[in-house]
Amino acid sequence: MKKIVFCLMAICLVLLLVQPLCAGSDSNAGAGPAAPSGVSAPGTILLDSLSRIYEPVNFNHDMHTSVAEHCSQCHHEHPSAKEVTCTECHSITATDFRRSAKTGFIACRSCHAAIDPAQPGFPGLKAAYHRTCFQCHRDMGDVGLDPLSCSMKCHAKKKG
Amino acid sequence: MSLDRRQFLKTVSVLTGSAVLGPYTSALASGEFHGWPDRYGMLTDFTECVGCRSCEKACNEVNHLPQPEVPFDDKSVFDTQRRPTAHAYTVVNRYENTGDPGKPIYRKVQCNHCNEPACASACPIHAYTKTPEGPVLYNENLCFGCRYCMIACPFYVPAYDYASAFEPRIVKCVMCYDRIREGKIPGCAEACPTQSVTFGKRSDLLKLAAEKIAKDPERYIDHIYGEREAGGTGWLYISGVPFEQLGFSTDLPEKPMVEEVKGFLSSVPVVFTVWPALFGSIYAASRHHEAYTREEMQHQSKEGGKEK
Ligand code: SF4
Ligand code: SF4
Repeated sequence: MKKIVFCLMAICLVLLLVQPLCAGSDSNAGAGPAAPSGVSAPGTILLDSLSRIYEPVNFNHDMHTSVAEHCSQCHHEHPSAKEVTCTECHSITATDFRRSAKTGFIACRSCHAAIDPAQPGFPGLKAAYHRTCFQCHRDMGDVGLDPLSCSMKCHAKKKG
Repeated sequence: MSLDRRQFLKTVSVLTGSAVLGPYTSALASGEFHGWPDRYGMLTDFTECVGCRSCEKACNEVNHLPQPEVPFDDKSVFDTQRRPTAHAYTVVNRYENTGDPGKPIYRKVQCNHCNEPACASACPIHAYTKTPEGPVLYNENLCFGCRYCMIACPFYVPAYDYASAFEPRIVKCVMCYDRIREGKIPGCAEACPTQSVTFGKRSDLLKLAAEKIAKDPERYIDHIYGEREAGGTGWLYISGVPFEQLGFSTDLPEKPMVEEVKGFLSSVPVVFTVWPALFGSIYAASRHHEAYTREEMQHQSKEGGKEK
């Protein structure tokens, strides 16, 4: 059960990445964590910044917040994250920090961009998304058993 | 299997006297490779791989290889352990996870871009090159199909293109050398959704691998495969289960295979010198036999004539 919760949290993190893109609803369904004051949590989000091979993912943030224990399970830079501070893993720039203080969120892609071979330990955007989702969805058996599940479970393959 | 092969190489080296190579062999025997400290490599983290085969698909695309018979999202390929072929420079194999049966482990196989490649040492016409950038390349125009590299490679990598019987061609992963030169990253590393395959400077990757292991000793076994095996490889691996469970040879010497292969290589002139002699004597013997048979027949017919 805890794993499922954690999984949903992972998706929540993904959501954070694309937050600036979306005009989400204020609804925060279920008994999950609430967004910090002054910040609205999105309802569903279209994750489309990497849709070269697959169709964008229609991510249900509400559903994930309803099962997550804490926003920081997905959003490691979440303002209310107590478990991990960003600087424990890496330094963020002053610009990113100011933006964070203003909006409450930093989009994943503002730090996790294209893969940089000079920083092999730093996940690019695609890995940041997938690793976050997989921390729960692998345990749930959604990934890791069949290559077909990529297109069956999350994002349909683009036609042609 | 690998033991047999190495045993074979050793035997050949003893028979043919690898001492011919003199100081070159002993310099290589140190097991330390200091050349090109900035060369690139790859790190595969088996704990991140989910067996999606995106890397195989990307490899197929960037190398313009023919479409596979079984589609890339078909898991039936996992029923057998595959090797790289002339039409698939990398393959992903599935292994049982004894610790957590619900989570099989996937292993991507391809050329390891050895620090001191045995294939290059075995090739009599120097069709292989270890580049300063890290990848081990081969020149298919030079290849004349002797397949010594296939025998020499401790990881069974070079594949033979049987489609072109009259134009022999050995093929293998080249770590997307052209893409690296263009400032891009290899196709598999770009495609992998989890960066389970990570491209970077080998020295950085070694540090990263050590950091990952130190940070999460429960997740990883304390071993970076390729750091020392066979003299060190450009492609490194970290895993949550012992490497022998994933089909890795864990009995490879730390000395570069070059040393043993050099013995094998020194057998090359033998092949070129002994074989003609051997075939020559077989030919001579058969001619002799023919002549003898002719004489015999003549003799018999004479005798038969007398009898009449
Ligand atoms: S893995 Fe085999 S083919 Fe690749 S560089 Fe090493 S010896 Fe050569
Ligand atoms: S693309 Fe990455 S996760 Fe998928 S099979 Fe290849 S190495 Fe594993």
